[in-house]
Amino acid sequence: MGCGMQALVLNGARDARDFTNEVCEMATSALEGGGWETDCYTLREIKIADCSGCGGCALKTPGLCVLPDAANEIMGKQACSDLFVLLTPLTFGGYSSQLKKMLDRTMGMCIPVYRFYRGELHHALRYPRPAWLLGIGVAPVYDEASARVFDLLIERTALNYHSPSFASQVLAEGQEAEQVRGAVQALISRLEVGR
Amino acid sequence: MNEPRRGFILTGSTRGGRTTSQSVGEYLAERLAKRGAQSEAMRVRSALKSERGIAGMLAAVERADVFVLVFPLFISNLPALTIRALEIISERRNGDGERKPFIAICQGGYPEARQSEAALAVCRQFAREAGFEWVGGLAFGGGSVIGGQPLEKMGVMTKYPRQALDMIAEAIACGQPVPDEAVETAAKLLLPTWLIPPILNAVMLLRLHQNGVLKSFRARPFAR
Repeated sequence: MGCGMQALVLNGARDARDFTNEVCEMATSALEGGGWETDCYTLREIKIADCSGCGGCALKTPGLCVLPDAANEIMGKQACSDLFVLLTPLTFGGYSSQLKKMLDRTMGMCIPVYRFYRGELHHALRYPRPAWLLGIGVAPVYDEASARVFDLLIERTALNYHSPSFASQVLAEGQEAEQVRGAVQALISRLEVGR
Repeated sequence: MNEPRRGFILTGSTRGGRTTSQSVGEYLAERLAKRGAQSEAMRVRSALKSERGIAGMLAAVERADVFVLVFPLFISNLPALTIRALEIISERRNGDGERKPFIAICQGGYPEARQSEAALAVCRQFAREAGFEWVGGLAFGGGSVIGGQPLEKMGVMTKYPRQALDMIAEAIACGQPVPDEAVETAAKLLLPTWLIPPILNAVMLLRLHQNGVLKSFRARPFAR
């Protein structure tokens, strides 16, 4: 599985003490152990502006954000990835603002033309091979209600990116590397990788 | 829930200038005023620019009897800037503030209101974690068509969102939760869904033409 394929990991940890950083290291190691070539970005360490909603990536410089920072480089990695991994401290059941600031900047992954996709109207894709989507939320303690929100959010994000399949899980802080590795492997197997 | 007298409307737009979320907030404020309820409005974009702005936002939340968040849908979720505002409010409150009512209103560019379900679920969870009382949320699509214009000026195009906001204003003024009828009304579409893509695409192609990128809008700058 996954041999020679590219994975892009976005780490939305709030600060250096956030356990999400450790999960990120463990998850990246598990992916690489499974044969994935992995690019990992710790977003809090990278200067990325908030999306200004200007529409430039659709209407002025197709596929490229007009803001001059690292977001275009990361979007380029996403365009070339087979697997897109979102790691976040669970924030009201969803993504941290650190992770979301990058996701907001990926509007250029789509073209400004509307199509029906899985029964809903969405923008058509700019690139022909969308990545599988894997979401891992990290919480101080596991909470069923916020885990349900996270699953729903990953499902909707997958619809936006037209991901062929998706999987998500919330991990409680304090997990050992072996547990995280097992969780990542289980999530990958749920993706039915092998198109 | 006691009868609220003062609402705080926080707008989560990321753009400068006139925005659709702002139009929604202004319409709601007018309707509240007609019912004798005062309101205070602020934009996340302005509030987060300085510590003073953040302090002003936090004070406005605590002054209000009801907290209303209006935001655009970005990739099935709240914009990053709006999440940051909620993170700050939650952190500073630490679950200890007065348990006042919280309402979320989401406007998305796609026609289907259900595309906002995850974003509203996040808002509900915010209310739970930050010590607010979730009294409901609603979503409507087609926000990009409004383009920051006053809702009333758009006539029939904003008929259903306005009806839904009227119901919310009434509910706020009476100290009631967001009625199911408001949620259902906001989700109604003026046109059958199948008719929407040709119209939206025609408008978009015209804009691409006007911007001189009609031939290049499918470009793949990062093709493998």
